[in-house]
Amino acid sequence: MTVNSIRTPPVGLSMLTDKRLHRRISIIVFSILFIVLAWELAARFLVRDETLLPGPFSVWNHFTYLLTTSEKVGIQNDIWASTARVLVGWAIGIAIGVPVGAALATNEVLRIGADPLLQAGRSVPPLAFAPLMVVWLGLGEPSKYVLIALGVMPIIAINVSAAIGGIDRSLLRVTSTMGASPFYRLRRVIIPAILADLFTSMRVTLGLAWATVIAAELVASTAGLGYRILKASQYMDTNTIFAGILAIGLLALIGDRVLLVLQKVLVPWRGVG
Amino acid sequence: MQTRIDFETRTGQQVSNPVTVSAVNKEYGKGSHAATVLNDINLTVREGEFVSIMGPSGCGKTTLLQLIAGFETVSSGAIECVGARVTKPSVDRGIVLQKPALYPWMNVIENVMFGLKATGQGKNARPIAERLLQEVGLKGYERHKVYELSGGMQHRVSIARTLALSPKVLLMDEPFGALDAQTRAEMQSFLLELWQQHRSTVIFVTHDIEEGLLLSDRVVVLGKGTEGIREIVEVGIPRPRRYDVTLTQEFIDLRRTLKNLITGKNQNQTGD
Repeated sequence: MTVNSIRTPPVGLSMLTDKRLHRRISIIVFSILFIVLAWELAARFLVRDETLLPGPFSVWNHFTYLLTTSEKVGIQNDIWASTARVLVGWAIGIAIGVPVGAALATNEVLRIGADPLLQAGRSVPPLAFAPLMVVWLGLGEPSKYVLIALGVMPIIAINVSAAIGGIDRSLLRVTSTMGASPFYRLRRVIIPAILADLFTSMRVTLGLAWATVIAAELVASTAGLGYRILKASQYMDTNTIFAGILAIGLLALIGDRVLLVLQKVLVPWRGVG
Repeated sequence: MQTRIDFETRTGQQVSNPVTVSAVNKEYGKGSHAATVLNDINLTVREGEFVSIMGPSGCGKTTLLQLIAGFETVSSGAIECVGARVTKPSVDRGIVLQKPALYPWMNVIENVMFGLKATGQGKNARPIAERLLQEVGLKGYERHKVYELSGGMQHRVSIARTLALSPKVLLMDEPFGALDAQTRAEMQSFLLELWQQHRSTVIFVTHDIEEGLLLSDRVVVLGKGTEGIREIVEVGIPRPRRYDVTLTQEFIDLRRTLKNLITGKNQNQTGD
């Protein structure tokens, strides 16, 4: 009866994690420094034209100015417009994609029938639907929501379906001898079992949602970061273009990190990368 | 509710054995591609009996267990569990697999309580689970994460989880097959001890002759495919047994008999 062979992380292990964290942070800091330096050197000695390639510090100053100045001049409203579109469209895509994925996993006819459609739908860039959405839904918000959801939904559905199909058979077999109702089984076994995969596909599709919204705003819009970048290019305002790109990158990064933290908190049993 | 059904079946029929396998065939595939895995299997497992199923690799011992569990359906014949025809998995037949198959999103005690909560017995779940965890030597580990436990401990949790629903039959499919030799021996004596306390009905699939002999009242030796049951060996070693019975002459003789039976005296192949 030796029960002392438990694998609790001893003190040494948490120290190791600390070490790893430090290593990670220093790599990130150095890579950012490297990019900033290369950019600055290229701007100063290679291009030597502020209107073509402003340096990183000039862009950063302009970016902070656009964030802090009056809303009429700044990009606050554009950030809000794009973020809202991303969140609503992405949420709709997930809300439809999860049940569709579950239906695909449980119904073979549906799976075989819908698979080509989903695979094709996944491969068509959402932007290809943009003109159609403008014709159908106009320039307003719904066309953006639908466009993003169209891109997100098939990826979520395919991944959820694969995740359900990939649940450990032993786990399901044992569960089947436990007298659980279908609902109890869904809530306590199926959903937790696919949570890690769901998070991964949510992270992938959040990036896609950003890419889609910017493209859609470039095509037809009256607000948003894509619209702002397009307008700035018409005035040769490269500083604002770069500031817009920076804003998109930062917003997408923040979203991804939030999901990553949530994933680590909610799915601690699965190694996350 | 469960106890009432239990009572009725027991009074209704004088002797309703926990498991009756009658003329069971199992084939995979159809027509000319059909492959017979089990042929004319007849077996009655009595109340409180520990029966092992052994046989050469590919003889269908796991398939037979899966049929009894209700994971698969028979091609012909019938399996009954306490008088009721087996058509699908049920709480009557608890199973422990080679993988512990614990729910990693639940801690140790939540795993053990799963079946009780799922069947609406949540009120008594905690004391029952605590008692079981004590029995399997895991008192104090209630709140541990299951994926932080060693393989042997995970198996103990898995066994406790299955016992929590007091199944009429405990099915075990090579439960210790993936453990290292030392943990395996430890788990065998643990199970022996546990079973001698509970005397539950167990059907145990294994390819380990020593394991089968140590634990069982009877060992069913299956042949390959159409061959059916080669022989059912009574293990007359008196109980309570301890791990050191493996050193007695009686045990060694039985082991030789079984080994010959499993490998097939004429075929001259290893039982693996």
